[in-house]
Amino acid sequence: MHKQQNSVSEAAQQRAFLQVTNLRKAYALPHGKIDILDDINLQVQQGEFITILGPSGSGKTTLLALLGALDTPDGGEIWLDTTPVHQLKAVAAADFRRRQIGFVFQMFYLLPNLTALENVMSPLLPYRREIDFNLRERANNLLERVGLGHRTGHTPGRLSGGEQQRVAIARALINQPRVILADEPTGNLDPTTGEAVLDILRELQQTGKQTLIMVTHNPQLASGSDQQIHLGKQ
Amino acid sequence: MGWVEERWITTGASLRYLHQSRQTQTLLLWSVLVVSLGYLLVTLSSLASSQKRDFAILSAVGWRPWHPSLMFIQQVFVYALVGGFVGIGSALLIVRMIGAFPDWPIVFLTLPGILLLALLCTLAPLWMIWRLQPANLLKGGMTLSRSLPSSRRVWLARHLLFISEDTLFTLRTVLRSWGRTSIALGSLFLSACLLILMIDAILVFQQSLQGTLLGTYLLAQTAVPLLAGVIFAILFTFLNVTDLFLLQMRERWQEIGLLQAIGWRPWLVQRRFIREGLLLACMGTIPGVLFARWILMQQHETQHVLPLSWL
Ligand SMILES: Nc1ncnc2c1ncn2[C@@H]1O[C@H](COP(=O)(O)OP(=O)(O)OP(=O)(O)O)[C@@H](O)[C@H]1O
Ligand SMILES: [Mg+2]
Repeated sequence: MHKQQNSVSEAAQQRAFLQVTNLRKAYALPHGKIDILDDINLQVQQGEFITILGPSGSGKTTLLALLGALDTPDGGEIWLDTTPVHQLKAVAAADFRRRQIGFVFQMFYLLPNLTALENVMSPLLPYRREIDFNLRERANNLLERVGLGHRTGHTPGRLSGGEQQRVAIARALINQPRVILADEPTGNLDPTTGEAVLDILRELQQTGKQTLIMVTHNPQLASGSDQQIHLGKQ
Repeated sequence: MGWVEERWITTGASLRYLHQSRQTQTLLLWSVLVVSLGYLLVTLSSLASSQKRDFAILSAVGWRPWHPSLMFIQQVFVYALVGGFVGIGSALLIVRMIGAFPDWPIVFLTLPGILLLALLCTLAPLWMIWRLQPANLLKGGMTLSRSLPSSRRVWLARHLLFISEDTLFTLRTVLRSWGRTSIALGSLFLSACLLILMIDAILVFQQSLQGTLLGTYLLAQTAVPLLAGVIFAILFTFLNVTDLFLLQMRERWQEIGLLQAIGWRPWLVQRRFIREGLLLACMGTIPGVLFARWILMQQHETQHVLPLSWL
């Protein structure tokens, strides 16, 4: 009895950096509810590289949205360090995303009217007074590091797919997030370009000691990751 | 003696016309205001809807919920300010050219009025921005498709109302953004109504005052501003409808590309748009004309004015 209590409090203290327990998500469809994620459990340490695999429709994107507080689960818990991500709503969720999370999307999602540099700065543009570093300088640095130092003034329409995704990676890193969430970041790129983009992403993640959670269909890439999460079709 | 009598009659008629035209002028003013408000609403919601995707992205990268809304309000404020200044400036210029004196208190009240109206018109778009779900962005589609009518309802419409599947498709796309569509329909209705009423008023007036000097003078004095108002309203309606279609075009860019990609000839796609335009025009204009006719009937019956032979 005594021993058990001890182990419980120890577990609480030794909770992993990112801990997901009994996560559930269902969607209401016209013909009833359908469980997309059912009882998902995860433990991720800081700086790890995690891949999520599974057939189309198995809920990979849904899981990523839950981890990034873009959506709320129907059950279970998500703890990032000391933050109860599963409870975050509206403003708190936005602040969490801005401070802790960097997103990289399959379809880049850059703002078409802004230049590459402005796109990289965009997450923090309204919050310049809250930050203690030079935003423009950091954005410039990041663009240098993804190899686009000479294209900072170009709008996304004038960049190739691979270049756009590199801008998106720079944008994801502008807030020095602790977690990078990437949903098939090379899904829209040809294999060679995709590999180059992945190399950049991995290198930046390793130097920044960020946790990288990536949805991918590439088994080779997955085999090189610290942990593979396989989602099955429900 | 006959001359004096005729003079009296014409003066009486013009006084009566003036009284009537004051009423119609107020009516006209309000209608123009309503039509332009509708235009403002449609424009602002299309502005918001064209930036829906951007706002969702910004929300996903961590902007607080009210920041996109704030950005939108600022945009509208700037537009309203610039537009207001240009409008007041040109109005003053016209007044100067005519040689009249501007009513300064009204001039000074106009700008805050415009700003207030613009801000009021942002409420609906703001609601739309507020309800954006950034999670949908991850799933690829930012098109918030409403659920389609069930196949049973489509079958009913086709067999009971004898509507072809093609027309049904057209009808459904016209009604897709029903808020904006109903505003455009309202504008069409009002404009058609106004046009008929004004033309009738001018014709009646011309008949009753034919040939007299005073009559021509009065006609010029009152008919010109009235006509200008009507033309204004029609212009706004036209812009309204154009706006609606441009917006739908932009929202349906993919659909148009897709239809062409699967082998539709370009003119077939264009025909679809023309058909939608005609449908919308008929749905707005015909009730407007009928309503105007009804008003005229009532008017002519109670006042025993001249018959409306021209309608
Ligand atoms: N808003 C929603 N409403 C209803 N069902 C949804 C919604 N979003 C997702 N789904 C369903 O949830 C399931 C999982 O979707 P999700 O996008 O997570 O799949 P995925 O694993 O990312 O697939 P893919 O590899 O094709 O991207 C799908 O069957 C989808 O139809
Ligand atoms: Mg997906």
